[in-house]
Amino acid sequence: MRLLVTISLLFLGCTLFAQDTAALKTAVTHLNEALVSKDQKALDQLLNNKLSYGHSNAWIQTKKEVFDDMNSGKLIYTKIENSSVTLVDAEKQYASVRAVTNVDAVLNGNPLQIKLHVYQFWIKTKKGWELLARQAVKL
Amino acid sequence: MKSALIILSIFSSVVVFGQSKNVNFVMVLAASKNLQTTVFGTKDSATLEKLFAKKLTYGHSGGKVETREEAIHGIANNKSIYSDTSLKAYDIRFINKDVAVVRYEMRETETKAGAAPAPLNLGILLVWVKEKGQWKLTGRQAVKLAN
Repeated sequence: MRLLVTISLLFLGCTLFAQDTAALKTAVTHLNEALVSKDQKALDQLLNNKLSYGHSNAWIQTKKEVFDDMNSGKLIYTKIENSSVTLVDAEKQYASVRAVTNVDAVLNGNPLQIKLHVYQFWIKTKKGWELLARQAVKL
Repeated sequence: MKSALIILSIFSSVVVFGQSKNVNFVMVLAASKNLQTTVFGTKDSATLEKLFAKKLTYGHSGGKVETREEAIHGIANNKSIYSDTSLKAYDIRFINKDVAVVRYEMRETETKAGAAPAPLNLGILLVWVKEKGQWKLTGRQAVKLAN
């Protein structure tokens, strides 16, 4: 009987964990879509208030700057495509994700196309997964 | 008398909370400095074992990614000499008292084995988490600075 309870709890734990990682993968994709479509409501949900968003030229945006620069037209994303996404570490409350990403954007009026390796650190809050830190490097 | 006790207990908890925030700041800054001087100075693997969390993803500025074991091995066997291991312009943010995000710059000269010294300027992102009361590194990403 005790063995049955233990197995059931383990199974439940695995199911919850699988749901969590599925939710994280959705958040990773959803973030890219929201940046391109300028979905501010989604971005407000996906980006933690203490976010530091680092670009491949070492420029760092706060969450507020992500919104301001989007609204002012300083930085417009026209395409963000992950060619690979790896969940390198997933704990209950946080996770590390690495991706290879192709970005088309317009920065200060100049169009650019860039291939990046991106490191993302996500945390799980009551509202769901939120991006806390991000750093890209040019490939 | 009761109101005095209430005021005193609120004051004490504010002071204690404030102190624990300061303690965490000091600990994370110390750990970050220790990491920096170890990676670019002593290259001592025993120290790295203590600083690294159970799971670590360690990213270099060219896009190379190492696991915990690969990073320790790579650092310990790195033949380069580095001129200046200090942290510059650092920023530390805390989430939930058990996650800390650190960013800083390092600007130094790297002398690779058999090569002339060359400038090495990097922006570093460190993610620290608390494991059993100790701050441990779970994520690292470097990016090249312009100059």
